[in-house]
Amino acid sequence: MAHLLALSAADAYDRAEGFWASLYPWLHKVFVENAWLTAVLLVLVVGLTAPLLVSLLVWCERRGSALIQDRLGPNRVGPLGLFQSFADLGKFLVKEDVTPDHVNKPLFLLAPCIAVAIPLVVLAFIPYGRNVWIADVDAGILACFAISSMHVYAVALGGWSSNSKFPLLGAVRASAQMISYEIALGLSALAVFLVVGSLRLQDVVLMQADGWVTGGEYLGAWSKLLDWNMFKQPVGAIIFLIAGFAETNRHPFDMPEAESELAAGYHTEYSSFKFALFFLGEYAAMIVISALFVTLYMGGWTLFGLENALDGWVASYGADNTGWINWVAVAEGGLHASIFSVKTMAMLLFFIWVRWTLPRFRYDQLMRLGWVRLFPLSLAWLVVVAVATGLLR
Amino acid sequence: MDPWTFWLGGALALGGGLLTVTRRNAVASVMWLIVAFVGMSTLFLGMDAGFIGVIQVLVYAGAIMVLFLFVIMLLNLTPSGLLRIDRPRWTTLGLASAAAFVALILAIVTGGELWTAGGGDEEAILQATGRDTLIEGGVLDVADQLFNAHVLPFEVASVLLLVAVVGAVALTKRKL
Repeated sequence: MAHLLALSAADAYDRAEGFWASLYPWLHKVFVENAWLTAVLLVLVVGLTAPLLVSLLVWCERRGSALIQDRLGPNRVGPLGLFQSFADLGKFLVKEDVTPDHVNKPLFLLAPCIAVAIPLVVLAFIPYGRNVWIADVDAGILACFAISSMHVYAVALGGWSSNSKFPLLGAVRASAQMISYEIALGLSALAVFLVVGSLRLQDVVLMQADGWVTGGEYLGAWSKLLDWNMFKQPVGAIIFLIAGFAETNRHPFDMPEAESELAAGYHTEYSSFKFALFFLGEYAAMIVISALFVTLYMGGWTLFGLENALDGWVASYGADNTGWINWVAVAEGGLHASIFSVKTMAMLLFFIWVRWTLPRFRYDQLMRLGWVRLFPLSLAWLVVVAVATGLLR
Repeated sequence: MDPWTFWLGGALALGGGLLTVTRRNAVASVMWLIVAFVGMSTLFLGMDAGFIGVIQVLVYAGAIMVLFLFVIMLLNLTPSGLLRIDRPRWTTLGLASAAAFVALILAIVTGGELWTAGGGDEEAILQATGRDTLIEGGVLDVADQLFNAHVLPFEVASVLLLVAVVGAVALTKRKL
């Protein structure tokens, strides 16, 4: 990441004059000597993109559900109703913020903050491109799971601190559900890392583009698609996907806020912007699980060699550090991040599609699916992958 | 370790721990215990023991404390329903066991090779422990130690945990 905004102070100093001449060494100092500042910039970009993506996603959800149910959906604010989410945001900001008397105030306030903060932190561990990442951690996937395992506190605390029946029931359901499906989620992802031999997410992405599946003349370019873990580990991918739906409390597993049974579940007592934070957190968690799925099973920022399209350019101009921004590196990073975003967006649309297609599970069915079906299945799949990896090695 | 990491992690761990035992509200105690775990994880990360640091959050803060919270929420514990431990006998017992614990820790730390080897000096530690290199805290290094050098204790511990799981199931299931 550090070289993305690389500059050579000496070169720039020779060419620039006056004000710029004094500014260049300073910029050099800021961006090259403090590589963390580039990371901070990227954190700001990701941290601001995620909420914007959420507003787009809410629009997709509402228009998509309308499409599926043969109605129009919000179409008044802006072109195609695109600005509806921002209008809603304005409403959330100006409506009265009611905090009931009987709640536990500190925890009541803490819960929505956790709901938003945790998914945004997890986004820091995901590689968006060859050189576009915030934290390339050795135990990357473990860090992702560690942070996102704390997301359950938002739901549990929100429900408990509300000090009323439906929220508490919603919170208890949610905690049980999230703990149960976390196991299947972790085990199915483990099978991927068994093959890769590393817990670093960047290694998983590169492994899916290394051309291990050849297919020869029969498959041609399709073999590159088959190199995705989705096709190498179909069972693991499906378990991860199902568990991902349950982890994010999305339909058909949205038991914690089943309207017909629990009013609005754990956030029944929340109003105004605190509710908006829960809303934002739920969609951010969806983005996280989609991004993780793309990274683990759909080749991350690679796309059948398209990610290498700028390689020649990078090789000949990439080291040209006369400006204070390395535009070649920025273009490469942009290409990778775009590929990644398109894939993630496709996954998010899949989430929406499922929500408006499938009916909700019953709670005992949900628990049985988690413990009796998915958990043993993911264990068995792990053994299969382990044996296969051992034989192929 | 970076001094800032040490002070931040230490303050979180100690402050969280202190507030855990002083809070009346059980849910608040759980939350502060999570803060303490995150502080300890920070200390592990500062010592380049990334794997242990992450596992600390994943297992303790993320899984075990959720179960704690779950049970507290189900039982609906109120401050008045808790055992009051302000009687002199309890205080004396508590202080005595705390002192014994501190003494034990001090005995282990000061009596061991690491302390006498000059607390943190790499060369001295290597000399005292007779190793070629320090064991790093990455996933591969931990796995290497766990599955090669210490595989027997590891398996014994996992059998012990399995027995506990079977026991828990046998206790809770009325009809097997």
